[in-house]
Amino acid sequence: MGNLINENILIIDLSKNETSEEYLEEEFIKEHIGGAATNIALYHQYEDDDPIIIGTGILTGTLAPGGSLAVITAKSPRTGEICHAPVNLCIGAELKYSGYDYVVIKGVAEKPVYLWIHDAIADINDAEHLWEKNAWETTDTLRNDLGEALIQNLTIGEMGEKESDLAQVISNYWSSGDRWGFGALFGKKKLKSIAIRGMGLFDMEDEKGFLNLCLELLNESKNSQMAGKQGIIDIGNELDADLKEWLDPVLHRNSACFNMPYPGNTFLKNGEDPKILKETDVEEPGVLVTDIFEILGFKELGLTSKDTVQVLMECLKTGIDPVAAAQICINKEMKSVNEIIASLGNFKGPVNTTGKTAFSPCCPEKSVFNKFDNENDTQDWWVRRQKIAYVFGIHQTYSIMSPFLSEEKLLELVNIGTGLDISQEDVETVIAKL
Amino acid sequence: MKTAKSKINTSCKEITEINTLLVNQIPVSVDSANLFRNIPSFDVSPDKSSIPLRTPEIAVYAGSGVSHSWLWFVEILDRMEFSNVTFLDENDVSSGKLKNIDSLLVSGGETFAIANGLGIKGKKEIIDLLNRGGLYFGACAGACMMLKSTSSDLGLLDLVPARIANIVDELPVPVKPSKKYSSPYGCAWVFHPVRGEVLLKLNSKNGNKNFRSISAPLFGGPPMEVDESTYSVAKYNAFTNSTDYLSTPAVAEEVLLGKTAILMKKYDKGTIVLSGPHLEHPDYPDANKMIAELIFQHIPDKPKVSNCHSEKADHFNSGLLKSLKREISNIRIVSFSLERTPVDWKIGRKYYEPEKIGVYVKTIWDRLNDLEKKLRSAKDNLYNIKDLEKSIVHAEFATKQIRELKNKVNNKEPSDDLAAMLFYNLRKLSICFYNFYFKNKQSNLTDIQKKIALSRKTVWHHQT
Amino acid sequence: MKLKIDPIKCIQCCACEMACGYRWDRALSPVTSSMMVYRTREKKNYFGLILKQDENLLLARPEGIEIQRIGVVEEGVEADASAKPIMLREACDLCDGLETLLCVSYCPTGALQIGE
Repeated sequence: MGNLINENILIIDLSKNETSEEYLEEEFIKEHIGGAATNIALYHQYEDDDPIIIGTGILTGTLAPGGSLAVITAKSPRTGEICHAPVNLCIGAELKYSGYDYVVIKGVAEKPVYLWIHDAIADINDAEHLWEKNAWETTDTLRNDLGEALIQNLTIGEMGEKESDLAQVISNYWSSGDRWGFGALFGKKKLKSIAIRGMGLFDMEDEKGFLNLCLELLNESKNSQMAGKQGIIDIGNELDADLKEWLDPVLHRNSACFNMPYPGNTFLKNGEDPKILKETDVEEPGVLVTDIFEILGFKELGLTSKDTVQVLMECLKTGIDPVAAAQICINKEMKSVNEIIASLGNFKGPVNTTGKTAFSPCCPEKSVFNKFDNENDTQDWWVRRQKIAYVFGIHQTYSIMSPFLSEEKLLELVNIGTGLDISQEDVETVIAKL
Repeated sequence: MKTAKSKINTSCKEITEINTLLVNQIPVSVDSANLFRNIPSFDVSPDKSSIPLRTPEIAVYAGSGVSHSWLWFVEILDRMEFSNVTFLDENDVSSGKLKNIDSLLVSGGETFAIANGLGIKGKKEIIDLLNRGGLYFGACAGACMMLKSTSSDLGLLDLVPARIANIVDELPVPVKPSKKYSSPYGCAWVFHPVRGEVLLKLNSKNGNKNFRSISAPLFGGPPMEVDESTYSVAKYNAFTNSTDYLSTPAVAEEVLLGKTAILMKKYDKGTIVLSGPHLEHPDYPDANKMIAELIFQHIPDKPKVSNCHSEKADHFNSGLLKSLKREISNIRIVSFSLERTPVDWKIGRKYYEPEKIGVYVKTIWDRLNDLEKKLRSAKDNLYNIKDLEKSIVHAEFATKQIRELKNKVNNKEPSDDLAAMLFYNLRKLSICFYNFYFKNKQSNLTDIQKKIALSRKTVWHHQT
Repeated sequence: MKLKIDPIKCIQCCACEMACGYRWDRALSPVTSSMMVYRTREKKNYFGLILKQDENLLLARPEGIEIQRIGVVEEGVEADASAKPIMLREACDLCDGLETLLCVSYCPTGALQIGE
């Protein structure tokens, strides 16, 4: 086997400063398929060590449309429950191409460390020089020190170091789907960052069949109601949130996570004219919004979009969950940008941003652009779509835009890509355990 | 983990088979008329149809002045399963490490820099190799170095009285005006009317009228004019769709076609074979096979005991391999990053682009993973462990160098000197690694394969 | 047949890189493709495409298309003819032998199109 899967679990023991690997057995794959379901199994296997599990789906990093997702699974400092945070951009793909399907991080490091995962090698490196750096400085420093700007980096800022349950794991510079305070777990473990670079390769069992089906699904996506839609503005329209006028003064380009046909990330610039497309000398002109809810709270607070960009940038640098920060600002009726920025590091909960399930509410809880046949019972439909996305490695938001990305098609992709014989019954069993 | 596959999947099946048998200590004799059908024979009489072979001892020159093209020898020798291969720099050559060598292979680079690097001592060692009956194979600069020259830099080694046919005092007008298509050669110029693939016609051997053509790439190698003391093995015959014209087709034809591309010259008991085109380029298996045939044909008669694994073995230590892998990975990540950066470094007379770093790294990386698997599964002992340890030291240093280089490039600071040091270090790293690799690579036959091989009564027939 | 690139339509999803990597490796790999998504200026949201051609690098950036000759180190001076070719990353061959250009097929936005 080995098609679309590394068959490799990385175990990081921070207490012992050791790394090891476990072979991912075929039976184990059939039993748990992948992504969040495997994360849960690994979580229970290492439960005594308060682990953080990072996992990819079988379709993560492939040409399957939307195959960008990695999942962080751990016990939420905010809810006390085991929860899943989606991580996208190129992080899932990089992890997978780095030679590992799953990473188990257990124990607590004696002093600050960062993980450097590359080419099926995992190094636990000293991070004393990174501690007290903000999230952006940390990513910049690691990329600079390790010599590659494409390195993907899960990191924490000041809030994580302080073990605040408002702390978010930051994806490079931007918000992840962590609404669970996983940043605090990083801080507790003295884990500043996980830097990842993947340069591996995956075979496919039936390469032509796999790629043709990927193409078929992509074409359905292009021919659907999604066509021509872009960024958070069009998602906002679906959620009855009219952002166009408000965002116009700061609106730059939209972009996508790895192999996501929908450009769901929107860059907002307040440091220079957002209409300028060429590269300028302004190093930090704005922020990439990866989750519409990051900005809705600040809009509700009454901030201008320019001020929102400024506050959001500080949230991301400080490593505080922007949705939680906005809620605190609303609760305290704090409207001065300077006051907000000065207070961010001292923000405390509780906040109510976690939703009702183990899946991050960063994904809108309704279908977007395209209707699904079975979405009448919205909550059940949404949870099932999230489970499927989190198991197979599909971007959580793309999964609610794409009825053509049916469970049957995803399963078919997995089977023809891997050569495994996973049945719909197996899927049901896995979904039921999540 | 899997990494990008080798793009070249051609092989010289017959040569691989011979080497696999030899490394498994199964006696092999070959039908010389078939195996050596492409090349003239000074040592094998035509009626001697079957000759026994032993594992040839091969040295690849990787010292100062060479370009990265010596790595092509790594690729093809590895692919053809040659096992006793040593990689030498100028110090190794002058300190007598050619003593046990049957064939010395020298690829491209800067002719005068290679000659200067070897120095008088090194050159004498090469002459000793020839005196003992060994083979010198040189391509491109490795060929130019052995040709008669008025330059004192090439003194001692200019043993072949052939003329480089593309030396001119005044350069013809190039087709692409901006293209620098020449390089200084003493007081004159060597100009290159084409680069890329050319067709070579092999001269008939023993009256055989079935002339064969092979293709090989030309990257600045010489067309040659020979006298009667030198045998012209192949001549430039035609160009192909993959030929890149740097001058007009008429000039290219006049300068190249009909001129000698490969020559052979006896020197004492030894043989010198010089080729303008790169027969060692891994995309050209027919040309590669010629090199293998030359190597087998020129194993000195005197039986030699292979020195393979004669030294004490150390137990397999996966930690050492992992340490090397870690550093090679670190280098390859930065190298990949530099590839997207518009930068070149001028080192000596040549320009180096970031992809050249990648070539060094990729060739090691591809083998490291296979070697790790092979050694782990076989629980083999490791030989030449010191070379592995030295590789790690060079690799750790190279990681620091390339990261510093990347920062300099990012900051638009001058970086030629640092790049030169990095390339030097990468060359040293590669030499150590390949000396380790070839000592530890084994193609063990299964018992069944051994039985089949032995049932051939030790005579290997060439399959045409 | 030519490859037409509209860098403004690019959303840096990297599907073209993967498709092109498949063209060379018959596997999924981000390393060997002739097409590279230029995305190293993440904080500036500045991205585009780089295509390796036989002798050129085609830079398709938001501000326009630029052709950079490989091996050109300073104006008017190029790499010498004896420079050995690098075999790492193949030049785009417009998917020679295939029915269509893979990068075009997998591009979700029309940033890559077939032109004449």
